[in-house]
Amino acid sequence: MGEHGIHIALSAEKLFDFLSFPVSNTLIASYLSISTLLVIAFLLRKNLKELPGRFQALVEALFEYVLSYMEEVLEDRKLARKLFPIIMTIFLFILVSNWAEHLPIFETIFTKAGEGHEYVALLKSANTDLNTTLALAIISFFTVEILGVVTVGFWKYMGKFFNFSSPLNFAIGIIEFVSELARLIAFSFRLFGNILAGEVLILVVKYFVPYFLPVPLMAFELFVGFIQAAIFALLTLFFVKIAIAEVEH
Amino acid sequence: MGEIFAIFGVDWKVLFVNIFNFGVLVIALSYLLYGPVIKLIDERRRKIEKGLRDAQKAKEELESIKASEKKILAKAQAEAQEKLLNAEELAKKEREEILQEAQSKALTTIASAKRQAEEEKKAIMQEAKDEIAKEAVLAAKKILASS
Repeated sequence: MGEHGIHIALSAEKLFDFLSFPVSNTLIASYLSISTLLVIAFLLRKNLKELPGRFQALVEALFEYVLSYMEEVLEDRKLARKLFPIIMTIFLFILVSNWAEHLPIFETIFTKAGEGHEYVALLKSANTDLNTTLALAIISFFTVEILGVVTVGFWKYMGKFFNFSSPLNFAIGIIEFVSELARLIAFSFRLFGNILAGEVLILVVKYFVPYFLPVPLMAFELFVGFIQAAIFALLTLFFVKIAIAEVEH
Repeated sequence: MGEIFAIFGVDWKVLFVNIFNFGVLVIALSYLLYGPVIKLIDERRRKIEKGLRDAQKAKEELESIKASEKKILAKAQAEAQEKLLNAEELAKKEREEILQEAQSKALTTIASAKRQAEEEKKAIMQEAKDEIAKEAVLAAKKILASS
């Protein structure tokens, strides 16, 4: 591909259709992350011991830290335990997807596909596809809204956005409603933009200085990948906290 | 909006597949990883709590045992001391009694021996006197006969 210049795609490339569902290279990468997580989880569960090994101790420390932090933020032990799987999975899935992107198998194996039968990379980082990040944002959004409705009550929760007690409160409610919906865009484009920018940066640097220079940038991208995963999970947690807070009158 | 989505290749079907996959992942990880690990952590925490409580209890018990042991030991020592003192006193008294008895016995024995000796002496003296008188009579008879 080198002789054709740098290939940057804002959208994922379709490889084939499966039961009329298009399968893109980012979806394959997302399945790779999912299966990696499942294999690790399965192996860990099989070797779960009362006296933990190194890896089990690491996982336990992570879970305990996150759980205690969530309990602290939500001030509700039961809710924290209910929400934990979603927050943790968001973090792990984004982290694994972001880190897997630096494996040499990504964007190096090409296959003939698409309408024009051009060469298409078999694997492309899952979070460089807005479909993935928007899906995560939708999950985060519905988690927040459903928990808000369940905890506060439907009418009280809706009263946050549609308040007819005074013109000022009505305006504030509408602004709240718009900002609630804007989160979807913010969530999805933040992750998408960060990861795509990192990928493009490394691609450009690779084009000009193929040796050594990409290494520190890749290290930095690992850090960015971790930060983005943490931000996505943390923001979901904080928005849940805001949603379950009692409406002030 | 539709144009923006087209640029980024947003497809409702792919979106749905992604959401579905994530849901499956959440459920699978809850079942495989979160549930067992958190249960394990909770169980271990309970166990450690119980262990700490037990250790505290054992320590308190040990302390109380030690205290009662000390008390019993002190009591036993005091009792032993008292008994020893009593025994010593008793022994002293008995010794004195025995000594006194022995002394008095000895005195009476000496006295009776003295008396006996005196009587024997008297008897012997008497006997001697009688013998001498007899001899004297015999001698006198002999002298008289020869003359």
